[in-house]
Amino acid sequence: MKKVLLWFITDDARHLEGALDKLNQVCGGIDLVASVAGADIDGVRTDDIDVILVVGAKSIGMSDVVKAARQLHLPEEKLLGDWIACLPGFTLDKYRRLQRSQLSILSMNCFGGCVSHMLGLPFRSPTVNMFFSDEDFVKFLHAPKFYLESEPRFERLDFSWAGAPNGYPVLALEDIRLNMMHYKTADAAVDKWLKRKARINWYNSIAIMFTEDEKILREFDALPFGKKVCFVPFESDADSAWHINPDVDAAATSFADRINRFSFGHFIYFDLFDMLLYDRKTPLEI
Amino acid sequence: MSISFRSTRLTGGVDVLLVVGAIQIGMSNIAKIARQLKLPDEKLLGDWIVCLPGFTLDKYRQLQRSQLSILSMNCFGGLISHTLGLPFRSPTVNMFFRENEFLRFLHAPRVYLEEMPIFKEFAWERNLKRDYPVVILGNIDVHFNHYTDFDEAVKIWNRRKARINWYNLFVTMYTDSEEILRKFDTLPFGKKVCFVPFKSDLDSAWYINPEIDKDATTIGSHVNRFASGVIFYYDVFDMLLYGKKTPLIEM
Amino acid sequence: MKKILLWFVSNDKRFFQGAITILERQHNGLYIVGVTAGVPIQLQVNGKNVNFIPFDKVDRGG
Repeated sequence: MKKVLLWFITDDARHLEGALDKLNQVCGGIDLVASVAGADIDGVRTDDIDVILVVGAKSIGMSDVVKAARQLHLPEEKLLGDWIACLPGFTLDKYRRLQRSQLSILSMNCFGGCVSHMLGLPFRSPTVNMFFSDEDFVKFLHAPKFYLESEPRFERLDFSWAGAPNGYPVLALEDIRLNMMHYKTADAAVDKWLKRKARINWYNSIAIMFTEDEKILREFDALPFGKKVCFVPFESDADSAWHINPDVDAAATSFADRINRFSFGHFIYFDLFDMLLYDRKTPLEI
Repeated sequence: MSISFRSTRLTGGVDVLLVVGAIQIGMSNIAKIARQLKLPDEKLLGDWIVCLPGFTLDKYRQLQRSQLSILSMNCFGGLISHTLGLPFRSPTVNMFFRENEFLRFLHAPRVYLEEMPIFKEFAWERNLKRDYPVVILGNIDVHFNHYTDFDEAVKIWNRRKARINWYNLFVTMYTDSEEILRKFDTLPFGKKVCFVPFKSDLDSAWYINPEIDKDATTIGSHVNRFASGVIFYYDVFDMLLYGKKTPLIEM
Repeated sequence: MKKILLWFVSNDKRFFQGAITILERQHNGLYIVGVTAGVPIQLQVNGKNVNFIPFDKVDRGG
């Protein structure tokens, strides 16, 4: 039985009912103590509360919710975004454990950033809003510290798109390329890279990539990371191979797109809590 | 038993080289012999390991390939590696830290391991009835209680610290103190285990009921007897691979 | 089904039967390819002699 306080932070209540149902289920019952909106929560006693369920959290994102909570002197560790409770595999224990574990996701592309976003977790890695080629990423993982200690240098601009109208910057890090797709300028990209790399928690990391190439999978599989995940479109007996069935998501245009759509939550193929906490494959019924 | 026999070649044809009587010799020696004989060492399997609770070939091979490094407050890491026939990839064997100093060490293991070990004093090892060297590492003491010679201890410490795999760590200690447990629980390690003789809600608290093993007197001895394979409280494969509690005894 | 070569490195056979039983159960049967040891031995399972390969004759594939 958990004592729950509802905090309406936007008027988006899509996930409220689902979240309450799930909490009721995983916590052996809930006791709804009170319901407040916006800044009215200031001064509400939270000592006895187990969970502050933040209703409408998804439209502003957890990092902003946390900022608001800090200003109002709310206990951060009790916050729970409503949509997170609705994710498959959610239990309050696992989620709190994941938050406390200070995981750093070393990710080949947006997957790490998107999944962090989906789970309302802060980024603790420079590998967000950018991508590596699969070959470069494996090279990077052979000596992450060496690469992270080197200075990224601007190399060129690549094709332009809505997020980077003049083309996005490609940086060189020794002999590998960082494709900083979501940055407009090289300075912004380098600045973020440097700032984020300082946040890595080397004592709890997971390496995540995808490939369609069995040889690259083998190389990745041989890396000595405790937690490592490589999404592949084929069956494999390698421990780190996580098979994505290409028949599930008919709207995906390529394997990369399939993985992106996974990271946006269109199709969640595996229990993300088990994946990030334990590197355990728990396939979900889709 | 549906066992069939046929003569065939070792290479290609054999999945497992089951080493019978392996516990007498130890897996590290067997691996050495196998290398000299050009036997494929990734196929070796000590017979006693198969008989450990929770064993499956897949999990064991995964554990071997994961190149786990165990940072341990005392003998636990060395003992459990031995029980599982795994090589040591950590300098924290044959020695111990005091609880508070181990916590300090864990706040910055890389930094401490770069410190030069300095001789502090000799201390008395009660069980072995001899003196052992105590070494200073920055501002913490390291008790090399299985050594008699300072130089020897430092030589082995330095050799072993070079083998740490920072990307797959398992951190373990034990304590009687709730306060120490609480501090340990906040450390940002993916796999961390603190054995305690009391029940606790904290993720990293692994309860050992002191009533179960009557031959052990302290939490330290319970834990060492667990690591030595005398009594298995938890599935050691789940513990080392995933940091996951799978109790094998109702406590 | 797993193919297994037995290598006797000492005469401590305490774990032998247990290990064989567990592996057989977990892999739906075993296929014992042969036995080798530092000295010649003859092992019987279910009353049948297990093929003994002298240690220096184990084909290691170069």
